[in-house]
Amino acid sequence: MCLPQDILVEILSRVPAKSLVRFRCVSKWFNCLTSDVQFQDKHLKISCSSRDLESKRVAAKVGVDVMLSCSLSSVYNNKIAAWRLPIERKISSCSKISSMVLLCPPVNGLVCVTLGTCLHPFDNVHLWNPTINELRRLANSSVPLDLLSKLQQPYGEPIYGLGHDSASDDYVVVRVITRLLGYSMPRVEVYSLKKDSWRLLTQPFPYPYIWKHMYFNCHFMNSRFHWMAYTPNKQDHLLILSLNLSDYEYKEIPQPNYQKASPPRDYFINIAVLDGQLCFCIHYFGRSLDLWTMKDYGVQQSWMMMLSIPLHDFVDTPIQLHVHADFFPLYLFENGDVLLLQLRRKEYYQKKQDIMVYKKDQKAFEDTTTLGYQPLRLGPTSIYYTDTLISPNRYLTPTASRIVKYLNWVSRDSLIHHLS
Amino acid sequence: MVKLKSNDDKEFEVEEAAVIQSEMIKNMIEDGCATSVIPLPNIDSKTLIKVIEYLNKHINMGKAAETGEEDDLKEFDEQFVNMGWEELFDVIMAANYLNIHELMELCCQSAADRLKNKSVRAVREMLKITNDLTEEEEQEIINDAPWAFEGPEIDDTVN
Repeated sequence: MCLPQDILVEILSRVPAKSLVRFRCVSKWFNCLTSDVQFQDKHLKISCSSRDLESKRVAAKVGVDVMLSCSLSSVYNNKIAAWRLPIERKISSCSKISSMVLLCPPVNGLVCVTLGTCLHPFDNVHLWNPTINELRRLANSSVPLDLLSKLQQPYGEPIYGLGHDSASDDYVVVRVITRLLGYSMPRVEVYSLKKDSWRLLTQPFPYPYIWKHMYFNCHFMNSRFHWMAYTPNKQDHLLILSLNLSDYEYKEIPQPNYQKASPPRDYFINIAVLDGQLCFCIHYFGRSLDLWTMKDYGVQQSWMMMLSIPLHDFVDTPIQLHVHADFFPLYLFENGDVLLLQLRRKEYYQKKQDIMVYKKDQKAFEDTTTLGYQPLRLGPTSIYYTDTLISPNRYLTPTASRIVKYLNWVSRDSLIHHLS
Repeated sequence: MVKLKSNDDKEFEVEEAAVIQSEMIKNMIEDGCATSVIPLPNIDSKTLIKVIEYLNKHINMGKAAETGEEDDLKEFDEQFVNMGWEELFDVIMAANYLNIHELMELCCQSAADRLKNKSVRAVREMLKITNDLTEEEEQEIINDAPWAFEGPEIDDTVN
């Protein structure tokens, strides 16, 4: 028997994205369906609520233009099967990518990267969905080149963030630009994928400095971007700042009542998004990594210490560890285990993995085979993402509306058939 | 009690509390159109028995959560979808027609789980789909995302 297409859509929206990419070869209809924006969004909604570890991945940059990807189930079961992501096929002119930098945590399967070099340092930003291997070069910056004269690495590098505005169904990239000529405070430039253009927000970033962690510094959740910011001479007082996508208003987010160890600066703090909640990470050097999560967004009392990971057995040389190593939580498993990224500048830590699973019950790290490790010269090299079908070109192509119309027609037709 | 009639003229009595999980029948009852037997011209008796089995087990979902019978229900669901491929299709069609949201979701997920690791050839056979792509088009799709075509989990068998 042959299933009506509307029912087939119901079934296929529950199939993992990797399989659907393969099923594009089944027939023209399958190929069109996976390119349809409405289907992509339906599939995203279902896969986001799923706990299926097959569709959640860690990808690591292991060469200039080589990324390997493996599923969280293979990481968790310590049977890493990694696949090469062939981004180079999508670069039209040059056959080789001279450089690739990961800019921020992926959102809905979209990865924000810079590829190669341009005259204007902001003009090589791309959105890439590694699962379907679709790439889109974003429009040129609205900031004139002559205002960037003072932009020198490392402090002048803009801080990127990627988010999804569910109200307007738009994908948004922000970059906070420090030391822009003629401005004393950092400026924020916002990109809309729908409009394919950048605009400089009139309101400057309200704090002069953003805390720079070894991992990404801008985290998106609950329709808001989050940074840790500070003012000069007050480095000990970091605050969490959010920017709401609906009104572009800044707001300070309360912090947990964590223990401020003495002597001061004996710890790193950082924010992350874990299990859909804002997470506050404190790495007391050589002692523990404490993870707090905020159950009710914006409510100070709802901060809870979710996990305190002891680092005593982990540390080899306790001198000056903080300069060289830190951790970042990537994923919270259903049983409370945590996938951690270890960030190192030098080989100071005994263990050599870059991604590790912390087993809550055993209170121990599980050895995980490394995907490949590069020192952090070019920014973070590993990302956590979910396989989706979301195309960075979703607003470009005529949205396969023919299919949708056809599907509506089919379902109406089958309804009429049933009623008669 | 509500009486349902399959397309092979077999009548089944079902408790109202169970049958109103079907949005379609619930609407019929609310509109007062369910006074006698409800004919279901798209559903055969074999499929209807399966659907009624599901409905009876799933009466009062809230009650199950209270009494800690969730695991029991989960186990039932797992056993329930353990049926043949064609049979699963019949239940999906019936759930869609009767508009039983939870049953539809359960069976579609089961169908998706059975399809997900299948090879392209196996999917065509399982869904009775004729390939209308040229060899060049197929090769282009494979070249774009070769990783989706590799892996030990890919299964070429049809079931």
